[in-house]
Amino acid sequence: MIENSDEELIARFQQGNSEAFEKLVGRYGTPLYRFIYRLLKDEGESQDLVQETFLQVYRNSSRYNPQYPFRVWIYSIASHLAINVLNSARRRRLIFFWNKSEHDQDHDQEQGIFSQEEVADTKKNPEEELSHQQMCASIQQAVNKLNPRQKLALTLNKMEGLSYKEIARIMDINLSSVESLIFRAKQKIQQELNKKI
Amino acid sequence: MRINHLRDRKISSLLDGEVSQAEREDILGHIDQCQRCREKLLRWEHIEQYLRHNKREIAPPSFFEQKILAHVHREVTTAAASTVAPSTAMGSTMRPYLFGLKFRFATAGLVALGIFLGTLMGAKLTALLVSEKEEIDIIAVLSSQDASSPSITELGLDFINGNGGETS
Repeated sequence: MIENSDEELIARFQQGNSEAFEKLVGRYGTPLYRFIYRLLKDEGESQDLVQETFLQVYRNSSRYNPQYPFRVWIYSIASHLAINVLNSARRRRLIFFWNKSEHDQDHDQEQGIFSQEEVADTKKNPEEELSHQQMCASIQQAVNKLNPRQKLALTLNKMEGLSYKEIARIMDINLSSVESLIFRAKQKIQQELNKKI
Repeated sequence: MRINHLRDRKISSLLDGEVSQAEREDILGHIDQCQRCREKLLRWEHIEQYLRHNKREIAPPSFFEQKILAHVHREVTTAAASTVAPSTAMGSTMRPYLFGLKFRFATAGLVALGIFLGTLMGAKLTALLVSEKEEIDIIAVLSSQDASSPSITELGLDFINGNGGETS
């Protein structure tokens, strides 16, 4: 059976077919949850934001421009919602940064985008394994220190596999800005790692 | 001879697959020749591998799709219901207006209370002045015994003669 493309499904939904909307939820619900969770690291908030994203799709389906891929449109909605949460969370962190304890940092690592347990299995040598785990933890800490826009651009590129062009559309910026955001993010990560070596 | 090494930014774009074919060939050609740039590429590649492949696949909550659909359905139904019955939508849209209205009511209440108290105090003051005037009149009546002066009864003060305040 040939599967309908995203664009066909949204077009059918625009014509009043609610089954098409359900298919889009089935197709994008989990990927969007993972994407938002990678940015926010909060299960409840990620769930709320995915629900809000689909509500926006439902209400504004007539505003979808078929010239662009549906994926870019839905990630754009989710990204804007997530960046708002990240910005407000960052403001809260800036206010209370002096209260950040060692426990919180450990918690950040546990909830990070990298699974230390999963990737550790692939290593045979215990020393290598330890160093690999340390590397994962260090990168996770460095990612957590990125500003919201850098984090968003990096996540869209590395985790979601979106191109610079797609990210530019999602974030409503030009290609050169995307390149710059991703480069600065990676540079910061490298600087953080160099501090630990 | 001055050697132009690759910029970090260029290496980053190369690893992201965001350079043209011609550019890619140039960069790789240079890396073949230059030990320093080769090491630089390896450092960036190392981080790149961690970023790309070591991601955790988080599972969404159970029945997640149903929850999304239920949420959308609930929100859309609520919005539709509030369009039909505007009073239900007041909670969100009319809140600022209602707050302003409450504030106005409170202000009006305070002003009314002020007027009431003012009137009360004014009345009391008038009563005091009247009683003072009446006292003067009584003294005048009693002292002058002038027939033209108003009588105690006429002044409404006959109770002071032991009539118990009853009017005849």
